[in-house]
Amino acid sequence: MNAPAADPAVMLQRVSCDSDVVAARQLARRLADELEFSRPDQALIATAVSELARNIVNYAKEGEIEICTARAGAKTGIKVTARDRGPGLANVELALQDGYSTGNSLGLGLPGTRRIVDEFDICSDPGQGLVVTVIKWR
Amino acid sequence: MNEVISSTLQSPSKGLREVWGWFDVSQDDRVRVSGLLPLAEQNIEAILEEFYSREGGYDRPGGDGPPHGMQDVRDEQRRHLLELFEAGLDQKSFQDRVRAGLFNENYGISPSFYLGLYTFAINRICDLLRQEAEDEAGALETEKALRKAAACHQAMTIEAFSAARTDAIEQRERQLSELPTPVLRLQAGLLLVPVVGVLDSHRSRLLTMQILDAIREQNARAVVLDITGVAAVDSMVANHLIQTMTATRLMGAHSVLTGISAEVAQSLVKIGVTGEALNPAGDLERGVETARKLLER
Repeated sequence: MNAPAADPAVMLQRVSCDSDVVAARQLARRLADELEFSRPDQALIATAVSELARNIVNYAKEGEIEICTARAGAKTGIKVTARDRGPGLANVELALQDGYSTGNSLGLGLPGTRRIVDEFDICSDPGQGLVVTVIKWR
Repeated sequence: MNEVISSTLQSPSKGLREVWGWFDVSQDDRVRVSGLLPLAEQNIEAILEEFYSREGGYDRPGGDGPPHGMQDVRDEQRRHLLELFEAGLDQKSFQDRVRAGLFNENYGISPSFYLGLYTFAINRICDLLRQEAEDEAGALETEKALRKAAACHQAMTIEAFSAARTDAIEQRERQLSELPTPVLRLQAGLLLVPVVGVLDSHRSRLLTMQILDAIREQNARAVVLDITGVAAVDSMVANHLIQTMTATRLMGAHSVLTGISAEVAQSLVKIGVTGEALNPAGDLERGVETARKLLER
């Protein structure tokens, strides 16, 4: 990722239960609306945040979602970072494949999120947690 | 009382030691504060009386403070203030602080009023301390210790109060998520289930059970599941819906999903949820139509 400068205003949502997932989703949607993303894009961003937050609850129990504005040149976007100190991923490639899940899910969370966003960065040390950073440009 | 203090001095929990660190409360400070207990016990009633008899209209109905002369409020406040000197900010008094916090909430005592009264009391005790002190430097040290410990005590009380509130909110949320979803009988063998709100794991399990029960009781052969009122549909919600609908199928009933908005449809496609498993039928009207046809088969 080409490290776009972020606006100082960073919104942070601690995530440890289902209602936190909803809260993170709403935060993202509100910022997307403020940044004048189209309505369908707002829904996509909200869904991506939902997937990332859900992963935290399901696999790491708790973590945080950080949402901020991303800027690079004339481009404006929304940047979402999902951070946890859970088990991490043993095999990142595998986790990014459709239908792969160690839980009882559809296995679409990470690959689905990657399809939604423009930039997708995943950083995992097994046993150390997981950091997923995504950007969707307007 | 001394036993309590010595035991807590020996084994403060790690978290608590950290809090003392933030407020720069040392062991010596705690000893100094607990040494003030006789002074505090002797004067607390007079201090409270002075606070309440000042001008300022604390007995206004609907004001920030408790109604004047409400004895249990004053008892609670006396107990809470003395706790600072007695228990020395140990973990044991945590329940007491939660109680104090909830007490304030129940009696409509605002945090500002609580802090105001607390500060007033500490100032008075410092006045008394200075009057009685023979060793001026020592009194100053004790006063500093008292102020630090008091700030720490107040902070922990307010934190306990806010934790109790968070608990209450979470409980409310759980209750909300357990709101039953109605399973409506449209005609013989045809059920309509309008789902509204947030579909989390817990609720979708309940929902599945309700639908399966209704299918058995009413001998239904088709179910229309309408999710117009579900704000957020991600892969987990989709998964819940698919599982509910699969279970329905195993009970021998067909199910039809309606009320997928354009936005939800687009998001689901991007995530990679395919339509077939959900058996979607557009809006409710078409869904009911489709379900009727399934009945006729």
